[in-house]
Amino acid sequence: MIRNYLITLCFSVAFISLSMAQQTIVRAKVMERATNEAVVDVNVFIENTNLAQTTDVNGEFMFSGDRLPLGEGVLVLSKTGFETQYLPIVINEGRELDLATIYLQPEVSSYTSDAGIISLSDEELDQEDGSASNISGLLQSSKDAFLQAAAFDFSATFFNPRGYDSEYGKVLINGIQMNKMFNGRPQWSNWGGLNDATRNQIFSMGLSANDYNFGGLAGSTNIIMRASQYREGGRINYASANASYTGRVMASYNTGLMPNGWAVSVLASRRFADEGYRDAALYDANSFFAAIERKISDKHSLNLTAFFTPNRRGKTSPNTQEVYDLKNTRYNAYWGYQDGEKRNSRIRELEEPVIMLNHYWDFDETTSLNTNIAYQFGTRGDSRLGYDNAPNPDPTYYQKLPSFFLGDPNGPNYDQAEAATINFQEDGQIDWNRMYYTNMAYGGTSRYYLYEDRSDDKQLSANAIFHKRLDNITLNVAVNYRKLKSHNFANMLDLLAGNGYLDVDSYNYGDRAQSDLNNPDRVVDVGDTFKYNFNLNAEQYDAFVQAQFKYRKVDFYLGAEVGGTNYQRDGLYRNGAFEDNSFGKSKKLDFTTFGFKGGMTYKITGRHLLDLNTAYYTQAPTLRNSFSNSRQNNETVKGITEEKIQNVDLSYIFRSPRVKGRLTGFYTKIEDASEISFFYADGISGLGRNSTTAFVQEVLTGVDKQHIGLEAGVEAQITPTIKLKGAAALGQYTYSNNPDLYLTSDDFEQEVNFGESYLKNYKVAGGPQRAYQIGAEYRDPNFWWVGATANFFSNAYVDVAPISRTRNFYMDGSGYPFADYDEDIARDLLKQERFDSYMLVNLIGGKSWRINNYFVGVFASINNIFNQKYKTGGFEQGRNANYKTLSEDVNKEKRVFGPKYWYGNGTTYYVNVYFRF
Amino acid sequence: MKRNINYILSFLLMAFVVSGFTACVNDDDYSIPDFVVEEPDVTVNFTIANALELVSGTPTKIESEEPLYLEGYVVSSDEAGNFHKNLVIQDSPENPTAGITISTHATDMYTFFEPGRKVYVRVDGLYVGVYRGLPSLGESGDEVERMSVEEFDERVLRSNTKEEIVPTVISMEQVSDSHLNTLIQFNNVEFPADYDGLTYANPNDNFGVDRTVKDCFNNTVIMRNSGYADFKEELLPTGNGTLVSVLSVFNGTYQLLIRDTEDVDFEGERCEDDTPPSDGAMPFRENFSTHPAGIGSYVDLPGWTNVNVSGGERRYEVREYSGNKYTQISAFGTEEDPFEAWLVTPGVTLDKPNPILMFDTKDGHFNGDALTLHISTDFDGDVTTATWTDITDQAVIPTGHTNWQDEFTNSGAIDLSEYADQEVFIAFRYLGGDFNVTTTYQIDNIEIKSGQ
Repeated sequence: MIRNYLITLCFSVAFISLSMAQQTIVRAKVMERATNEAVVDVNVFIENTNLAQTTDVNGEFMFSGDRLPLGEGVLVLSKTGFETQYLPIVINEGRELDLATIYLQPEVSSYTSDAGIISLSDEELDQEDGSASNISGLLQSSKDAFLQAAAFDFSATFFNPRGYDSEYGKVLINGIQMNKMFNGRPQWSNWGGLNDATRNQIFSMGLSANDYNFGGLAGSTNIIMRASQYREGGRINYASANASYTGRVMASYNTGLMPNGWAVSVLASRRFADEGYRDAALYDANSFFAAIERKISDKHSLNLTAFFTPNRRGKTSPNTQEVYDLKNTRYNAYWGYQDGEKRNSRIRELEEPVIMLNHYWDFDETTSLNTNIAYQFGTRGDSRLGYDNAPNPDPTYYQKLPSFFLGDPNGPNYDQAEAATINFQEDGQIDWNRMYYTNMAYGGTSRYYLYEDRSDDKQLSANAIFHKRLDNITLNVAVNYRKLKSHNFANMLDLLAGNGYLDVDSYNYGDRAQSDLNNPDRVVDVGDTFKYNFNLNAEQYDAFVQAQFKYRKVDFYLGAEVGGTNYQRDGLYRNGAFEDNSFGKSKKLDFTTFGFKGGMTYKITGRHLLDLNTAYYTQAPTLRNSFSNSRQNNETVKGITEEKIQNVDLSYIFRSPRVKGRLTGFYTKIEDASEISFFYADGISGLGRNSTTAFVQEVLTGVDKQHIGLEAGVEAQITPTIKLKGAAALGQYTYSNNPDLYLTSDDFEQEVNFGESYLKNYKVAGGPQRAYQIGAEYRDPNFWWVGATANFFSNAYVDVAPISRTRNFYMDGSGYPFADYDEDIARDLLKQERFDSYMLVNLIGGKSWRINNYFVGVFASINNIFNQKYKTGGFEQGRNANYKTLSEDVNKEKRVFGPKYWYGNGTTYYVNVYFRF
Repeated sequence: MKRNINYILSFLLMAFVVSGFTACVNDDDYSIPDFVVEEPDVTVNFTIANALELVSGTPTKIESEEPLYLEGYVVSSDEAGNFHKNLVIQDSPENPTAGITISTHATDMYTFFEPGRKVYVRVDGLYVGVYRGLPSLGESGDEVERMSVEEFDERVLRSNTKEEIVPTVISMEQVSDSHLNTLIQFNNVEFPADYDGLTYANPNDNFGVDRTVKDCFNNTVIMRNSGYADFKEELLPTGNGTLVSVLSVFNGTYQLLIRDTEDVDFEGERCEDDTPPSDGAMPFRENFSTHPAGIGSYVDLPGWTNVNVSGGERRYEVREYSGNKYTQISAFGTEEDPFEAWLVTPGVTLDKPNPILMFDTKDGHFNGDALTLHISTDFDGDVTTATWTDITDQAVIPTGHTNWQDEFTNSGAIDLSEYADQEVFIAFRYLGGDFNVTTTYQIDNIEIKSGQ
């Protein structure tokens, strides 16, 4: 860093002492600090101009000519993997400004992207069971101080910038969108473990201008996995950790673009753990990547990229507070001992290889066309235990916990509560042996069995991205097409010593209990399909056009998108409960979407900028939210329509050589969203039958949400070696209307409409809505560095149960209000729980050595050093749907059906050693 | 050159990574656990009958210094969901003398404790009493409360022995507390005719439902079906046949609990007529179940003749034993010798094909045959003037028993077809004498109907 300042000084000296040339020239050579090697292909531009260059094979660049802006300016040097340099310069007419050597250093994030992985396992990224989703994978390449904090220090808490679900963030690989059509979210595990091959990322914040697609509220990242874009050399890593995996080995080699026009990259890695931070959360992931590129001519280049990341992970349970109190926050209810080993009943197994062909065609220096085609196929399975006419094997089943006995309707039974306490604390895990024994003792079809919910997808994607740069204008045009066939079914994994499994729903009667009337009373074996079986077919196409204008004082952009999406279910079983509406094709859902966006950056001076982004667009609901009960029938969500999204954000950006900062205010409104959830409900009125319990699908339509808030990030280079940073997010993410709610179930014939769910002003769940960070970093000239951050979080909320906010809440089974209904008590019962606020302190540090031409480095971090316990999320159980059942439960000594929570990790570490050549 | 070195290095590191792939994580391949199931090592030193002796108003704690174990055989099954949180055991696979309900929070017990399974139950520390009148084992409370799942798992031990349970065949009149919590069987029973189209329980709710089961003499018992039973939507069978069930009681009303619909075998012909006899038409039936019973309670039914022709008081009485009513006659203690009494049925017109007569008889304190069977077509109320044909030799009437038999002896079908379309009267004539032949006879289930 000292050198940077010396250099800056030198420039000034150079400029003062002038040169004698007549032409106005700016030139320099760019080298990597650690290696003293020239850095090629660095983008160099002079701010507030459209003057841009890249460094040549010697790392040199030169600007010359009349159009150079005279006077003070800022020279910007950037290259993926390096810290961007902003150099103040003064250009004088007719003088040559020779900046001599400019040193670049590898960017912090290329170290810390490793760090990010520790605090956020793929499992957290892919969390689906709860409302939480994590988006930080999207942000890792960002250099913005706030987004860096969000990606690395906030992510463990499921903090999402501006409160957006990850379905609103787009992930592209080589320009092809990777978000799943099923739930809109990127499946991070599909490229997990390829860290060294996914470092080249181009991130666009929010809906700002973006060269590849319209983007999403939460931003857009294009991961470039072209063989020619990797730096020549090899790298080998070994990491040890105790969060999601305990070990990782990774090795890669890239040829770079060889003189014969070929480039080849390969990577293989393995991540493993018998258990992670949570009990029995096993991790077994292999990752393979290969890319080969042929530069056919100056104009054409063809790239083939393939990656395959088969992985298996043990899932972890959300639990009630009672369970955590009896055990601890590492407790996981999904496993039990078998053969002396911890066997997890809920394993996610993912094998979805991707292969893509990319063609790059540079018509000339300013015009390019990039055409891509990709195919993804494979399987995803989520295992779970099934049980029929046998006791629930869940060790946290409510009838096994002390609260059940304390809440005995005949008064607390302390003896049995005490016995249950001891039993749960001493054991409290799944009893595999008993399940085997039950099946063997019974001797008939399996009472207990292990099966998986499978989705076997085949997706074809194709797109073309056109790019044209005129003097001040950049034009982007893209067309995209995606087609998905997703086969969904239950697959028998293990009969646990039983003799087949009779595929009849033990909670239903007669024909209604049959999963497939075309083939009733089947006895299934391992590997057979049962329970449900259907295809989802989806097609999506869109066109995007955008123009970016760059002028001295102002940059602005305009973009538009139009597209279409259609979905259809094709039932392969005739479900007994839905005889006429389950087999064969559903009606086809068609959605038309469009969007506009525009924004500008106004440069008050080179140091003070204002940035504005606005957008209005519509998007199709996800497949998941389009069919109300896709496992059993062809029913589509009533009144389903496109989501409407409007967004405006305004930022003030300050940029000086020592201090960089940003302050943003944002407002987003999402309208007409739909949400589907499934649960066992108790206390449902108006079913036209005497029973008030049922396993239901709850469908919310016309959901409006509002996200408003402020975010800020600042970093200051106090001395050449010390950097201070700070970040803050103050958000308020709320439901802004009362959406409609109805229930469907195979327990009742017609859907039951409950009218409005009074959700207005409830907070949207999912991570803290407020987060603050202060941190410091010391970077020693001798190639070591340390950093620490303190992070404070508050205003995280439990996910409320919408059914409890409908009129059902105050009505009894016959549809009349409860006699003892008390509005004050009701208000209290329905108050949304706000989680306690907390602080997490993280430490990171690293060092690297150069040995001849090789590099050895070590990176280490300790997260949550004070072992703070904190809730990352939770949801109210929908089970107690009305005033009577809920107030009874709340008034118990311990709640039986209290909310279920996830807790964050305690203190975890991560150490990575790498060797680069 | 550097490139070549790099190639070598990359090959080496690939090898390194591949070696890393062997770093083990549990895979899916779990073998089936090996279970060696040993017979529980317990000493049986208590019985269900011992437990029942302790039943009183409120649950009584079974106290003992030593562990107390009783053994029993499971007769209930919660597989179909008609039993719930109750395990019923009796003390023997055949001819049980006692049964009891184990009251627990455990569910789905059938996988380990299916009907016929022998079990050992550790009872010391448990409470025995009743729940709504049903003798039960469990925890303390105003009535017997359910024991926890853990308690159940610890106390109820599964034997490797499994026996065939032979249900005790009784008539509906014999239903009594002594059969509670045991497996019983009724023969020739059916659901009422107006149940046609009804299901075991209500498809639309989860409430339990009472269904009546009747025999051909219009005796009835309640069958209780759970609203959670798998078979609740099945139609009740309309035929007649055998019913196997566990006898239970709820607040003074006996209830039959079936394990599954396999317990209901109603494939046969229904009772021919469900209306009581009165008009002298076929079929004719009498089982004395509606008649008061006791010493001196002489048969007094419309159309019947019950007469002592030797001058004394004694006639045919209605008596009751083990819940069953029948008529009884003996000369013992009459101080009459000879002693002669006649019991004559109302006139029955044999207007149906293949008319037959059937009845059940028991003899006791035998010291000589005294009962004969007669038929008349001209009986007008005076037994002495009517023309009687002795058909005793067509009937099986037990003889020679000084002790009472458990079961009545059926007479067999007595062919009356030679009297077709005539009105007939059937007479049971007792001729003995005090200090002479005093054999006691019990007669029940007198039927005149169409034979096959």
